[in-house]
Amino acid sequence: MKKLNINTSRAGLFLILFIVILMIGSSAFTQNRFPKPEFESDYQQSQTTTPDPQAQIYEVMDLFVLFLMLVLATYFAHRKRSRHALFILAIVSVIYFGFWRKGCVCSVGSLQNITLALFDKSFMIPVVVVLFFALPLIFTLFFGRTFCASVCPLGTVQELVLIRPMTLPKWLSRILGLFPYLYLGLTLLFAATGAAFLICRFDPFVAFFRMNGSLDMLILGAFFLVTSTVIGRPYCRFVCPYGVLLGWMSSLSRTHVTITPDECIKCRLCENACPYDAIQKPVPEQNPENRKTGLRRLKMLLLIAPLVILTLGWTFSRLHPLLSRVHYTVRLADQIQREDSGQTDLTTLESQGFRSSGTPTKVLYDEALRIQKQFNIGGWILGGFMGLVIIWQLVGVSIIRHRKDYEIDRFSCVSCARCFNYCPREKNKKKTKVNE
Amino acid sequence: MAENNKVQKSGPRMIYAIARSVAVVAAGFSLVICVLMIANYFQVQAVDPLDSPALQTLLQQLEENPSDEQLKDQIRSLDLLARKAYFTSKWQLKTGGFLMLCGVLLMLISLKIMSEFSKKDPDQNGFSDPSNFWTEIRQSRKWIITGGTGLVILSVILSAFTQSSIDQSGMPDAGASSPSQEEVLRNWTNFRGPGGNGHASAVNPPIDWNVEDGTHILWKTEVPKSGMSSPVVWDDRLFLTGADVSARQIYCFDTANGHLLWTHDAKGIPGSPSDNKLPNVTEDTGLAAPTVTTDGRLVVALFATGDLVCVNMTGDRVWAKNLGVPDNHYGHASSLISHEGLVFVQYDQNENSKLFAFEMHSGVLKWEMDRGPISWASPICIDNHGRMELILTNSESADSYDPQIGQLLWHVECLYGEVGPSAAYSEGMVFVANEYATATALKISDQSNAPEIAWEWDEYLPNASSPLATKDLLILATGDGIVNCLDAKTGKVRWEQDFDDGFYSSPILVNDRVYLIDLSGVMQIFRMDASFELLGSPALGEDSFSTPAFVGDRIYIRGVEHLFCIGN
Repeated sequence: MKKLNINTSRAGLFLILFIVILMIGSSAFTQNRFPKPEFESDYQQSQTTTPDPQAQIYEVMDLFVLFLMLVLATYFAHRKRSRHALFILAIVSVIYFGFWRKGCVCSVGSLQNITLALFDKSFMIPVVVVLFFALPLIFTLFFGRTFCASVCPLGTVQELVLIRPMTLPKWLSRILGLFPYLYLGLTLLFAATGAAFLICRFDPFVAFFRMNGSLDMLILGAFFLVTSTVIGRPYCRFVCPYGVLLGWMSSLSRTHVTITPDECIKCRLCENACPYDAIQKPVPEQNPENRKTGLRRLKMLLLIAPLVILTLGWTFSRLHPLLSRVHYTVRLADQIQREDSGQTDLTTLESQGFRSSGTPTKVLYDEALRIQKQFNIGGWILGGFMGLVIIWQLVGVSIIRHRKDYEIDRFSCVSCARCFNYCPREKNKKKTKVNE
Repeated sequence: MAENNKVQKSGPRMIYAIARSVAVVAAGFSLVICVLMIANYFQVQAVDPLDSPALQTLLQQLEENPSDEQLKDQIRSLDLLARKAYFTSKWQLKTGGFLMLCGVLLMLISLKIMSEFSKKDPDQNGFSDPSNFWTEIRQSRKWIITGGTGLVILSVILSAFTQSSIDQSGMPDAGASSPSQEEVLRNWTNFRGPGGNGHASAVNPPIDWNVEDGTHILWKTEVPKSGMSSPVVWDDRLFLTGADVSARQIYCFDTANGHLLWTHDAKGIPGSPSDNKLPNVTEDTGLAAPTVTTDGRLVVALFATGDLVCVNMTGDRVWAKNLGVPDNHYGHASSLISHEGLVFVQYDQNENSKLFAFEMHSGVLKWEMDRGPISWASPICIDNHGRMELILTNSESADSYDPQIGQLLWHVECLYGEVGPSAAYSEGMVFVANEYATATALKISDQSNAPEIAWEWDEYLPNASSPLATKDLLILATGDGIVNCLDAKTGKVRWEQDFDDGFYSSPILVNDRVYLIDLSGVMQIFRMDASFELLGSPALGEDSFSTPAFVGDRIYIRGVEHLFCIGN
């Protein structure tokens, strides 16, 4: 046991040392973006300068650190089964990707860049962003969500502040659990139409990482951080759209961490260990419901599925005027129309800029209507997707796979290793190892 | 042994107690910093160092006394102080952020330590009853359905309150067809009627009226702002422009009763000169001399400020642009004309003259051509045996352009002076004239781009009024009140009539009659014939400089103050 602790502490120390060296070394590449104004002596009007682009070495370094941390997180979760090592790695992630790299580029946000690049051929996406998107998904496909455990700065910052976890009522978890799908759909819709990068706009932690931000961002961040002290990873579980993709990958993953290192003795000690509701209990032998009723329900679900999908598709498509207002062009067209029809006397900088461009209003309106049409189609797809998610979840709780042991829910488990230490088999194994 | 156990137990307890104390202190510290930061945040948001009232007052004083060095020093000191205060607040925010972060971190670490040292083994009583498994599954189904239903209800409610804000009902459609020739001829689409040639078709207005007793006066209405522009009519709507130093406006009147239906202010156009920097214009030109043009879907107006504005039939702006304030010593006066979806702007000025063709529905520039000297004349659009031509005059020449591509078809240098009269066309002959120059008849052909000068005449020539031509005759009206009728083929004078007042307005051919209103508002109506026959001289009761519009059995005349509708 002691040996193990020494090993993990050494690994952590090594990592921190590595990051410190990296930070000192890279300071050579930093540039003053804005020269300090000089007020004390004779004032000289400074030349306007364009900030140099970020040194390319950062991109390579970010990628290298991401890959290294994914490897380490996977190693600590699968081979070492060490909660301590994962915890230290999480600290490193928050320091590096969060406070030092200011939360950008991040895999969660890269989803938007990928989407925009797919729909807008003029948008050039850097390779590093593609890899930031793909690497965690690939790792998850093989090893489960080790990325969430200790690499994602958004997840780890919540992990670090979780002090006294409490279990949310099932009904609330179920309802809130639908939101990440909705958020994923909205994120894709807004990114595909070029309207907005929703994840970045509502990133709750970036203001803290940057020690700067608008009041609403700071309030949002404070809300999530305070909530995270008692509710395990609220952003990851009830908001994160990338988490949905990771969850799907994890469900199909080749290997995944398990609660017990060998066999489950059904001691039930781990039953309440997971603050993320990712431990599935054994299924009791006696099902009070007969098989026929279950089958009938399943048939009914499959029968009404098209209706649910179409209903949600239709209702969401009706929201296209509202949703499209997120797009700059639609907002501008609306403003111009209100100005021209005398509904408002107040012009905006945007409307003044538009008028000075000499672009005909008709061209603007045509473009705005084209975007609204895209949102109409997008609304159908988004609603249909939500309908599919609801049906899928209902099917999920209608087909109960027989389960004898306490198992990890691969979709929800973030491989944090918290449950390992609750397992007496784990403790025994570690003891045996130390004795050996 | 007991002593030993006591030590072992008191160790963790002490760490727990220390951690708790540190957590409390750190929490208090963070809270204080947080409150200070919030206060500081609002202070920074409220203060703009470059817009402090004290600084603004001093700046105003400096404007009144620009050489006051002491005042300048005072401004500099105050400016420096304000900036320092602002950046100090920013620094405090940043430093406070770091301090709070440290405090929160310390608190979290302490709390973590506390939770590590207060860990208990899982409580057997906390384990759920396995028999609840199926109940939980049932509940899950229920809540997923509830969530889904909530989603539908929420989206239905939101969609009920959501409407598309972009209403294109008033916007022109690029694919909308141009009006038919029949429609155009039935209306009065621009200065001097369809094609700008001074011919009214299918009309039968009265030849006598009396403003005093109201005979044949259908209505009379006041025009809000003055202007030299002429009325343009499409169906039941009449369009005019008016302007003064405070505003440039387009008016739409109901032809049924003369009620003003809407007014469109040509404002908020980028590049448009501000009210105190308007171009200098003479009183007899003004800021609203160019006549609008319409295709029955849109109306385009031009002002002496260079503002070109397109509105739909309900007065909503479709597009607007400023063409640059024209360099014109009297004020820009050339009217607009439209043809097959394009609006043509003769933008002749002292320097950088242009002929523009804009897409009417979008305002997009289709083509532009460089032009020569200044003029105040307007383009006419003619059908030269199947070839459409846009004919313009300036202080040097008469020019013809292909309306679709802007190509110069022919150019004849036959004019001189400050040209106000536009060209006239009839049966393969183009007539141009100007005071101090000559009246010239140009024989044109669709096969050739080299017109022949058929004849020239240099006696009584117009300075503003445009010629009126038929196959056989040409009418010229001067600013002094002399009207000459020439043989269109030879230039020989058929008759000459001296009226009491001069003419700025252009003669309009109505069946076999010519309507020509003089500067005092008396309409001289005579037969278009080789011999002079006066048919009537009804008076308007006020001066008039514009050219009337003839639609159906009505005449719409703009006086200096009122708009008149005269009809049977």
